Amino acid sequence: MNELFRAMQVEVFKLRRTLALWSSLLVPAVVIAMTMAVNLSRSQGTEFVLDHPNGWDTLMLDQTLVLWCFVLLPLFIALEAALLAGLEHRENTWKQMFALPVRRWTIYVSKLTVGMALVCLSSLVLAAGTAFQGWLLVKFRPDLGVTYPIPWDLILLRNFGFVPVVLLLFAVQLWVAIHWRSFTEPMTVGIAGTLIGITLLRTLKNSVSSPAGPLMASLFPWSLPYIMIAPISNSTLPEATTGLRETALIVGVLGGLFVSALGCWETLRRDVS
Amino acid sequence: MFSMAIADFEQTVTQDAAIAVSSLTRRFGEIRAVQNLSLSVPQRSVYAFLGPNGAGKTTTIRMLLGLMRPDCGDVRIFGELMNRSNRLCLLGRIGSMVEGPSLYPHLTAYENLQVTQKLISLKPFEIDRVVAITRLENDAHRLVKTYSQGMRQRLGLALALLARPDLLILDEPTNGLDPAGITEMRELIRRLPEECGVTVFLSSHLLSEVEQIATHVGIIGCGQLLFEGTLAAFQQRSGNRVVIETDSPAIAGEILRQGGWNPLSLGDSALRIEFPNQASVASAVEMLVTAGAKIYQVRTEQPSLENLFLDLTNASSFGSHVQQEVLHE
Repeated sequence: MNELFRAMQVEVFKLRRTLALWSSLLVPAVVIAMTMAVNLSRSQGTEFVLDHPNGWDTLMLDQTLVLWCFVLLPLFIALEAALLAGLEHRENTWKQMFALPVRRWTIYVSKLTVGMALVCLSSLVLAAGTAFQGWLLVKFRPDLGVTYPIPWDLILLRNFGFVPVVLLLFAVQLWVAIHWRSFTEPMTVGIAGTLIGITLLRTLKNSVSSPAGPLMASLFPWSLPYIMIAPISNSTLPEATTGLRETALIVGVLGGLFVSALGCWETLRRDVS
Repeated sequence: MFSMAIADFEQTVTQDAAIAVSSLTRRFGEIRAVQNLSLSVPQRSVYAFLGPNGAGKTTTIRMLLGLMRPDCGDVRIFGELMNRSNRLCLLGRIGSMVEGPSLYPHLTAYENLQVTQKLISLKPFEIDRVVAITRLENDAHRLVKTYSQGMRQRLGLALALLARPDLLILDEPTNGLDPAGITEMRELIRRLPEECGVTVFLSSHLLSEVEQIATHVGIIGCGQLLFEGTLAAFQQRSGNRVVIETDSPAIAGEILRQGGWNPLSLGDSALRIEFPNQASVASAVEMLVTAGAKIYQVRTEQPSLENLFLDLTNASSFGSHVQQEVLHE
């Protein structure tokens, strides 16, 4: 356990001056900045609070988190996994690390853990950014219906609620990024997965015409984060969408553990060239 | 009784060796990168593992470090068989640099050393020690991406020395260095057995780079060991190489071939022959004179170590008889 802890410490240490660290701060910050710019420049009287009980949920579920979970998070994870693996691929430091008296699986698990920690960090930036944006809207745009006090528990629940299902997506992307040395493969997989995910997620609203779509979305790693925040409990949506969130949670967590175990196993067995 | 004595002797040799490899084989598809390789590296020696590019040096080193699994054969480090259960324990006694230093360019040299120091839980002062050994004190806090190739090699060596290893495995440590860098690296490696008590196993494709520091050499060609022994023993291999100048090398060559020797023609006037001993030289000359050949000159040839090395490795590349018999001296 000490060995794993040390490996994680070193993984964090290696993030100094890297894009991997900066992107987990900047990408969610850009999401906040974009939505803030849109909201502050809305014309007076625009209907802001739609089908949510308060403006905070509208801010998150119709704006920041939709943008984040639908498109940017899957791409962000592909980028993070590629950057974390790229740290070692760049000068083939795998051979240096694997020739040290350190268990190989600890190196793999530490990369996975630090990657998930970066996802949590991005969620934290989103949560803080949401609170800040809400505070600005209360102050400068009271007409939009965002009110005090800041609902921290709701903000944290919404921004961290999808993180467990990210495990599967991160494990898949990390496996691809470690397996292939080039940056191209993980990014291609990430972009392709995101596009397929978007297509599957669009079936949520048309599940009468394509009933298998929502189920496939709940099994597809790139769709899982959005399912966790999508308004599928809404009574206007058809029955095919019930239980999707539970399915996504099970698939995301158990699938993530399974793929991580496979990745560890492959790391143990692989020859270092 | 005799076989038991041999077994005891072999066991003693194996236990005394820093590295003992037996019957190591590794294929990549149809290509045999390393075939039935056996070698023994004495403790506290500087063992140069030589061979042309593609001879199987790096593949052997990867198998020594457990980075690659052999198809068959085994590796013993300080007498202990390297296997899954004790691999980590043995790696704790080895410092290595494989195919050049593996560094994080976005970190400083000091931070690169900290990565390994933290990972294997060493005391922080070990960093200062290896920085001093490799004379990187003035540049330790500079980003590695600004380093020259020579400084990168020194940092790679510092990383290899960080855990105070008993065995240092360096793959082409002078690769990419200018003459001054090669001299500096050579001096650094030369000091290590005395100052740090380590056994050094280093690979190179140039004998001239290591002949001043190596105590032992192992020569590999096409994945097979061609020679293993001390540098002096390697040099002695040229002891009975004789050049005979004659009026008709073709006829003289035929006569010598009938006598059981294997002469090599050196142009229109000379032959080169490897004789097993001095008496054979006299017999060959007598045979030529009796047959009526005119002998103008008989002289021994003392090739440079580099030429010996090239002869051995070229012969192996062209499938000559030389490599069929591994020479342990």
